[in-house]
Amino acid sequence: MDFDKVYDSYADMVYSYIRFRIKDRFLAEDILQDTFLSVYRNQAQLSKVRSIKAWLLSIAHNKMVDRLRKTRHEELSYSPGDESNAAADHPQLENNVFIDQLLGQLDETSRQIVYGIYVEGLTCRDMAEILGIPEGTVKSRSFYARAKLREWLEEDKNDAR
Amino acid sequence: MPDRLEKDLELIDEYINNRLSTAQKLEFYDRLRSDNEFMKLFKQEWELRRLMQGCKAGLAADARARILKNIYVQSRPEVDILAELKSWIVDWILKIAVPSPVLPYINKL
Repeated sequence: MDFDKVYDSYADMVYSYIRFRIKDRFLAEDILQDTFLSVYRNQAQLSKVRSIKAWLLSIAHNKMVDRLRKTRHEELSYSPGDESNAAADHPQLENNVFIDQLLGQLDETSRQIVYGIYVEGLTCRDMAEILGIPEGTVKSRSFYARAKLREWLEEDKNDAR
Repeated sequence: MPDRLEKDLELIDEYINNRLSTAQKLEFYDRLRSDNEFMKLFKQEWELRRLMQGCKAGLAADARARILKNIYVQSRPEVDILAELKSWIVDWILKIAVPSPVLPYINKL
């Protein structure tokens, strides 16, 4: 697969992964550019990787961590998006606020893991590669985080009754 | 029990991401029909996935094009302006100092 095709196919996915942690659009676009610049310079590896998705996200993750380390003051703790004010009028936005609140109760790594599994359909092995932590750790964290999310989901349903 | 739950979650992930064979899918449907707990787990997992889709962020078309352009500009090999200038000056001095019939021989060296 040539570089343009990779960019076309995966830019949105990588951008969404970055934006999940970084709410500043311009910073996220900058990290996306750094990520694909690195991909461009290491194109030879494309044919050797087990999963392109996991490889791209691991580069994006490292770039994001580097950038956040350099600009520590800019790091944003997980908070509901800008949409919260308008949520009452829009069911989709209401859902976003609800899931933001649920995710806000998890630690950063667990949030990244559930995002990868639920949104991108990645495996624990992929997430271990992306985050640079052992697969066993990803499994246990995802197990705990998903149990918590289900519990909170049920609580919310019971409250609504 | 957590072991079983962990395996069930893996099975649900495999099903949702279409990584099961036809036979495994049929087994999966049987399990959904016969095991209420499994059905409940599946519904919760499905709901969480649906909610999480709202976290997806889109990249604007203009940003997408701009970033691609920037990548190509940044990855162009850098031109060593100083080296180019030196070479131009040396050529110029040679042209002035050395008679033209000799110049091609010097350039060949």
